[in-house]
Amino acid sequence: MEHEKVYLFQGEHAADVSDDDDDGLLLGDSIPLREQAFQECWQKYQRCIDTILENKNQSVLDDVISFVSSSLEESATDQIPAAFVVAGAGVSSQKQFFKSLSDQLSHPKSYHLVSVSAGSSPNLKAFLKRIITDVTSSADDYANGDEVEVFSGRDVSLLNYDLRIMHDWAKRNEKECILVAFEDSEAFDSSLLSDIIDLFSSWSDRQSFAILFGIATTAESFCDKLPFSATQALDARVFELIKPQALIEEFVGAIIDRDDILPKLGPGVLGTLVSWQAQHTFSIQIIFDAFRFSCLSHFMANPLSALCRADLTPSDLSKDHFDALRNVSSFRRLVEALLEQREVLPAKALLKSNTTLFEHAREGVKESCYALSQIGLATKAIFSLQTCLNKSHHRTLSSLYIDALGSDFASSPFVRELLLTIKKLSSSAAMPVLESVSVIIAQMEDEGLQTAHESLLTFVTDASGSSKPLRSEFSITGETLRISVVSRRAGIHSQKSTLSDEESNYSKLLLAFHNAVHQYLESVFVDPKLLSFAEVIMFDYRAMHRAAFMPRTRQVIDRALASPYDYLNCECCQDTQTALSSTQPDTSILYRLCLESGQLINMADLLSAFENVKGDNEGDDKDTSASFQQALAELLYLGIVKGTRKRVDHIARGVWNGL
Amino acid sequence: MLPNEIIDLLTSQITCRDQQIRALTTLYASPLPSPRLLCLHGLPSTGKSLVLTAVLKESERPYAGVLREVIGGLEGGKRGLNEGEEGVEEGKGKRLVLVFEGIDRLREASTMLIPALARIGERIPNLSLIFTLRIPNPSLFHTHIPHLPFPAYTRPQSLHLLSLSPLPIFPPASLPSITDTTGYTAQQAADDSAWLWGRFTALMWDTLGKGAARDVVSLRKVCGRLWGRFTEGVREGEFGTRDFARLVVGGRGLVQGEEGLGVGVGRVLGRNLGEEKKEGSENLPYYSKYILCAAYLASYNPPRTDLMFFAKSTDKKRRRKSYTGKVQKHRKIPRTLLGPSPFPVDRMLAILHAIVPDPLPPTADLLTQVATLTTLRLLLRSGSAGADVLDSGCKWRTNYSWDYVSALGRTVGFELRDFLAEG
Repeated sequence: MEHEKVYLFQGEHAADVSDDDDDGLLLGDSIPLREQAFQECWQKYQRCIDTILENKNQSVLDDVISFVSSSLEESATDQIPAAFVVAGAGVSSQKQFFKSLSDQLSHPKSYHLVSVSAGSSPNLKAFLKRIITDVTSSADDYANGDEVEVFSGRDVSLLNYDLRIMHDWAKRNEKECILVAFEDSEAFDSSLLSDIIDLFSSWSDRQSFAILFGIATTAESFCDKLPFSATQALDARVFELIKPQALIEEFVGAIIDRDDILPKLGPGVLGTLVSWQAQHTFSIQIIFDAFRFSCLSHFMANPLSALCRADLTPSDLSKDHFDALRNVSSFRRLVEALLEQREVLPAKALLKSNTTLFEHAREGVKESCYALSQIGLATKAIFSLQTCLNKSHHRTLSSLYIDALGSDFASSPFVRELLLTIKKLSSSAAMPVLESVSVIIAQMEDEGLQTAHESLLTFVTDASGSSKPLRSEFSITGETLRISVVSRRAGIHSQKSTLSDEESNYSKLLLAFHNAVHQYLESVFVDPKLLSFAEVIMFDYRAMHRAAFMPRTRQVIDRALASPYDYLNCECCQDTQTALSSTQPDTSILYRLCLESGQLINMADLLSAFENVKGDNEGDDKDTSASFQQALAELLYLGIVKGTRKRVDHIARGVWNGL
Repeated sequence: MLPNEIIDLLTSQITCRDQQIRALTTLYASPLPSPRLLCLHGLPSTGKSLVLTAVLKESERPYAGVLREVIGGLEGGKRGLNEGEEGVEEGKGKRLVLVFEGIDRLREASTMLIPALARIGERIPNLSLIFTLRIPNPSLFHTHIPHLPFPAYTRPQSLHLLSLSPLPIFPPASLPSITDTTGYTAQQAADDSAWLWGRFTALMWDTLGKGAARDVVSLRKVCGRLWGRFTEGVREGEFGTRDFARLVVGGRGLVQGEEGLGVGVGRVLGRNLGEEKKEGSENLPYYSKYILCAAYLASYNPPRTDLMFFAKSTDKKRRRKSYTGKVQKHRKIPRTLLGPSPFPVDRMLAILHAIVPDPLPPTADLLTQVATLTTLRLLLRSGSAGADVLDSGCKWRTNYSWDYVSALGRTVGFELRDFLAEG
């Protein structure tokens, strides 16, 4: 992840070797600078994620706490209150949830929460020891040994898995109820869970317990695994945490219209992350980790990303940086455009003077960032429009944003259709649509659009008192069923004449609003690749992300075995890169021989073929045989061939190309 | 209190257990010496604990219960001794009764524990022990001890017990408004409720209770669940309060289904009985769903049919051909009714490749997903626990039902039945 693939080790005086007219700085020297920039940038993103998670979890938390306390108050039933928290398969987001739950429960002081995971409690005794240790939190007393006797204020000794310890503790500390949270409920053995429930319910007359199940699949399928007697003892309710997909959408919504976060998330990485989440991964934390990684790789792989820092001075950058800056395509385009307009001096200044270039770059980055945030804002407006118009083909915010960052989004069929629908709205339908976008339009810096929106909204609000909704003149054409052009035109005219004055006024305002929206979208949706210094402000390295998070293990092994030269880079195989040769590793030779054969391979044939390849020296039968054995064992271990019962002296091939 | 007074008091409070009350009172509340050891046995909800605690309370004997919360053998013995010694010291010469409830449900009990417990009384003077258990087992104690049976309630007894606390037809909150407007008195309402409740409980016993909810507690639960919907017609004014026959005809759907028994999906989440199950609550990744489908197929299809179902060259028409028409000579249990059979992970992955509509991307990290599904216990590793996961001999099993996986398959547009050998 560096701008050079390979380094030559140059000792301590590396700086002296570089060019004389240089200021002694290399591209790599801005790494500490970039690292700081990354930390600043990531803090902002992290804060976004945390805020979303906190907001979403808080409502569920309140519900859970009120459920538990109310269920404990109606103590007439001997059932244990059990909250089924459906959290999706991402265990990591649950951890955060349980942590904040535990924080909140410690405030009223009458509850105590113990979280357990399946790994730490394989059986009932271990589970009880675990929660008792956790509650009394004096680990050294109870943890050692299997059945250590402890002394807990009584005049008898208790075993370290005796719930009476917990009961005594709860009485001493005036804890009304002990909550036990199973973080990954599915991973527990169902018989263990039913034992625990049984035990708790037998204690329910002395010590009240409440249970929280963190569930990855669904509450129903989890309940089906519990025995009848256990489920009967529960007073259950289901709570749902935010789903990973919704979380990503929220996150995208939170970041796309901010102009204070640099760099921005590019469409390629976003698309990869979204589809990765939908298709492969369970954990939301991994998605955010991947996101963080691609942000980091932008800073580490792109020296120009140093420009993202707000407090950068020209002296921080080396000559190489400025050379690189002059080489990016958006800068070249700029200079060419200047030359076409015959403005030679500014172009010359940019090319010659580093300070001018620096100032220009700072300005350009700022402007492009603003333009990107405007794209985000417009995307949000389109999203809320489509939600309100209740289109059958609903699209997510992230997919809209990905399209918006492509070229020509403003003239895409989706937007065109959306605008047409706006044109045809009747006044009663227009009302909620206008209200839904009013917040977003207020943020936009487009006065024409704002006035059009405002006047239309006031007009519609005034008209909402009348009994009949006002029609738009553009919706009328859809109602005619005339066949010939002439008669249709006649129909339109006749219907147009039936429009009242109010309706034609409404149509005018609606058309004005439509045109304003259209113009605004046309002006906002530019191709982000054409923005100045687009290379700096957007991170979109998909290849790096793939290499780190979606390893192609199978392909790599295939390639290493099929063409070892790619990896070994040895002199002996240079001439025979593709053909079989005796200098290649034995395993590789055998692998390629296997690939040439059918499903069943005769061992004797294989050995003779191997000997043929291995070569000329006839005498070393033993050596050849040994290397054959070793190569075969390695292939067996890799699962490429395996023994078969069909024929004794054959092996079966288990791997085919492309499968 | 004298023994006779206790008997009179308790028989008026607890019905249908006269004989047991008499026996326990004679043994533990009279001046006669009490037995060292007694065993009460009876099915769940036959009044064992109720009668026992009532008698011991009235007899003013000190007693202590060591309940079913005891985990292991050692703990059971220790607690027996501790409680016994403590109690006898506190009791100052009075005879202590120590109750072990649910002794046949002890976890990790060694065979010697119960005989040992039975002899605690020999070590501590002034101690009587009482065991309760569900079904008597002569080999449990190795010695002969007296038993007191608590037989299950018969039909008339059950109905009598239920009739002691009838549920109201009209909720108490809305009753005043009804009595104000129609002149229907609260006394009449209570009478009607009791009348209808009696007939309703008899109906429930005959239809559902007899087969599926025999003990009185679960019968009461069933009745409580269905009562509201049974009497809905009365509250809406459609039927009179004593139109039992028409109510039965109207509500026959209630006794035909399993809903009242509280089995199935809504049984725990009892609050939303009758609500539809929410759709789309399953949020597994796309390929995980296919992995589960493939694992189910690998588990329930015999390996020799794989070529027929999944080979690319096979014509679609040929599928299922040899399995539909023929009538097999000897009757076999259908594969789907048996448990899942283990399969190697290779076969599951091969099936996965065959059923996924688009070619799998090379970056799909299938094995991570398999591992995650294993932690969710949707897939289980069978064979010895310590075996190497990478070992080709390691086999896997599915751990979910046909309903679950077929619904899952439909969410990704995959009809599982088309590929099942004995669907």
